[in-house]
This record gives sequence, structure tokens and C-alpha cells, in this order.
Amino acid sequence: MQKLNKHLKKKKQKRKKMKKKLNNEFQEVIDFLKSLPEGRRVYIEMSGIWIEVTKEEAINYLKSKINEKEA
Amino acid sequence: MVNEVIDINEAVRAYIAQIEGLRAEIGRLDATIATLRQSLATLKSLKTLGEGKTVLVPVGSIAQVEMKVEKMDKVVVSVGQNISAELEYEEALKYIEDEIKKLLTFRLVLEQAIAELYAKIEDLIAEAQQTSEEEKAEEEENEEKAE
Repeated sequence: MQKLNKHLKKKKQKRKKMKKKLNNEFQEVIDFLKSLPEGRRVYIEMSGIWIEVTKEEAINYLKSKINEKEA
Repeated sequence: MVNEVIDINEAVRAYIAQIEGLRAEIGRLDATIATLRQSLATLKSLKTLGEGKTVLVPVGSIAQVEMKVEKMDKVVVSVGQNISAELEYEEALKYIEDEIKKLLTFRLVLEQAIAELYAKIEDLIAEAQQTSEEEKAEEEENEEKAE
């Protein structure tokens, strides 16, 4: 039982670490988009289709992805 | 003694498995780096040779369509997480070069990790040899006493 708990704890820590890494990757893209001047075209790829969006829409999209993964 | 040898063998196998995994990751990194370098070279070539000219753009693997490159002052670059952004030409070059640098740095970290694993394997082999020599010496000593 003690061994199982230790294993589960380790697995939980690993998932938490991966989640943090993924959030960092999303945040890097958000920060990059924020650094762009206004008027730049931005696209989101969904199922092979590239949709032109505003910078703000792209940022909100990425933030929603972070929230989905944190939920 | 037998159990100890088994433990050492298992540890060596585990280290070798880790090394193989890291080598596979390095292979993937190399492929990505090569692709980025190719993109960089293509952008530069298009800038110098293709601007204002007609080029052929592949459509699938069997057909190509003629398109004219008006200007190379804007480039749409994938920045991650299914997002692409319009960058100035020089910005795009810098972005791609920075990505290559990041990947090369990460590659170096992986290579260092492999070197450390090899060092651990060497230590285990040395330990196994030392244990074997000690046991032989002990056996010889016992034989002398028996005589």
C-alpha cells in the first residue's frame, strides 16, 4: 500500500510538471504575440484550415486552451 | 554475489535504454533543425532570386501551380500551438535563427546527459570487475589455507 501511494504520488508530480511545461509553452507564444506591433496578421490552424484572426483573438484562444488544460 | 551481478546488469541495461531514448530524441532534433535551416535558406533565396518572379508552388505531391512572388517584405511564420503570425522579413529570419539556437542548446544538454550515463556505466563495470577480483583473491586465500 505504501509502495502504491508512493507510485501514485510520483505519477501525479510528473503530470503536474508536464502541465506546467505546456502552460509555459503557451505563455511563450502569448508573450510573443503581445510583442508584435498592431496590424500584423495572425492565423489559427484548425483541422488543416488556417483562420485569420486578430492578435487579441489569438491570445484569447491560447488563454482558453490553458484554462481547458488546468480544469 | 550472483544477486549483485544481476543488479549491475539490470542497472547497465537501464542506462543503455536511457541512452537509446536520448539518441532518438537527438535524431528528431537534428531533423527539425535541418528543416528550419532549409526554411531559412529558402527565404533568403526567394528574397534575392524570387522577388517579382513567377515560382512553382507544389499542390500535393504530383502537381504544381504557378504563382508570382510580388514582395518578400512579409512572411507568415508558425510560432507554436497552431498559431502563425505575420512577421517582417528580417523578423522572420531572426525568429527562425533563434529557434535553431534553442534547439542546438537543448541538443547539447541531451549529449551531456548521454555522456553522464556512459560514465555511470563505466563505473558499474569497474565495480563489477573489482568485486570479481576480490572474490578471486578470497578464493585463492581459502585454497591456500585448505592446503
